[in-house]
Amino acid sequence: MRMTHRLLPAVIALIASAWAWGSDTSGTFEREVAADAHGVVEISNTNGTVDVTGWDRAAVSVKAELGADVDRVEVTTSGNHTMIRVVQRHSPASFNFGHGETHLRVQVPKDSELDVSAVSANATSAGVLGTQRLKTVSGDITAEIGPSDIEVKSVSGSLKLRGKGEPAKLHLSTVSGDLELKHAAGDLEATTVSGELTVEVDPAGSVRLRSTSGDIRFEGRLRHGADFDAQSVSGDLNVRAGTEDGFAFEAASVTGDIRDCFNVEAQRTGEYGPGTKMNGTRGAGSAHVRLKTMSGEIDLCDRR
Amino acid sequence: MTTRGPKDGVTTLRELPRAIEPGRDLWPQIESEISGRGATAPAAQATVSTRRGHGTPLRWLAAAAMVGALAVGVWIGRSVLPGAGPAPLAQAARPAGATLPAAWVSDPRYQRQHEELMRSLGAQLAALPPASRVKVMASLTTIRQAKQQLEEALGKDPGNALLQELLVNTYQDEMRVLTDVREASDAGKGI
Repeated sequence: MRMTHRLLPAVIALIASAWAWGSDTSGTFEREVAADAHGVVEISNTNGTVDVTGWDRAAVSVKAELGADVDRVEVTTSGNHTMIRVVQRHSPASFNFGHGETHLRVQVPKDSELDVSAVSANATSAGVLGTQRLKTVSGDITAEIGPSDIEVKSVSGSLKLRGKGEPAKLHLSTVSGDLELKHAAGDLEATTVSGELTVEVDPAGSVRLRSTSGDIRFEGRLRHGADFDAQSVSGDLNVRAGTEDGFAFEAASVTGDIRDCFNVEAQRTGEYGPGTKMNGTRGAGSAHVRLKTMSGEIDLCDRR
Repeated sequence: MTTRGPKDGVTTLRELPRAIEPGRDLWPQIESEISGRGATAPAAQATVSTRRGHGTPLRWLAAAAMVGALAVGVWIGRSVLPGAGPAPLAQAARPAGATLPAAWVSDPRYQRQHEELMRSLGAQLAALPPASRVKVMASLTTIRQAKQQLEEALGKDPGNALLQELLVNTYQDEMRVLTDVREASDAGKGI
């Protein structure tokens, strides 16, 4: 009897934790609604994943594995707008720290405009040709870039994007996550504070890259008249930019070294103070390249 | 008494004339110099000014360069910071000894926005997922350290346009992060 009293709390705790573990998912959800082939699809999820793919049908399909603290999934249509929203059970203090993750798989007409908003959910998109806006707080974002503009933004998540060489306007930002961009083309603005930027753009029109402490690495080809600007406070800048007809360049660092692959020597900016700079022109110099850092190193090359 | 000139050769002090009379009365000109009036004063002043101008060209060049750098800094600040119109920088976290141009730090609108965001930062961070909160705090620390390093470097080299530009952009990055955190902390809206 004494033994039973001793074991009772442990048994209760074991049962409770087993119940909690088992209730991480609380069911599934499926719905399909008709949608405009060129409409707008908005998706929001707090915790889990959001996977979006474009397809050839004029319909939106939603399949979800629901987390324990999910109240419902709303799918609503208004005009050419389709909205999918995972609604948590009301718990303001822990709205984004729920134990249950909802995994959302959504198929949208491929020419849709896509708007994904998540907190801790990872987001992926593939095969969407319309404009995309993908945002998370801490979730990672992986996306295929179509021929339309894209805005991708995360606070602490990492961004991984892949294009097909079709020109578009790209706005990418993360605070602490890394950013990787491959096979992109067009105009790019990418910023991070402490993450690393690794981007490949070919051909590039206007490129603006900025970090505070993260390194920046660019590889690509600059169009005629392109404007390239990369800046970091303490990160290194590594730029390998082929061109159609050369570029004029201006590189400056306060305490870091400046190197290049075309044998132009960096000059001291002053006789007594710190600082080096390197200016010049390669080829016809139609594009412009500006690289600036305080304590990072600069490495510039006019070929990939 | 015969007045002997230098060409005659002077062998002793006694041979020098005791007085040499000027060819004209100099007092009116002296009087006008003293009183700052008179017909001959402007010519004399012009001579002095010209000599001063030739004597210190570097000082004027340096001053002009400084003014130019300040103008560029102000222009950058007003062009890139959030919101339309002028939005220069705040004095927040400026270490003693840093010599930031006054125009950068005096805009009340920027200061107000920055203070407002900083005031609510704690609550906004608390609303973020724990892992994200840690990363954001580390990034804000990175920005603060970058600002400090730039300000210290500017304290040693106030006219350095590169440092000024990097500092302005770092302030802008800080505002962007603060704004992102605020948006991210809005429950259920993502960012």
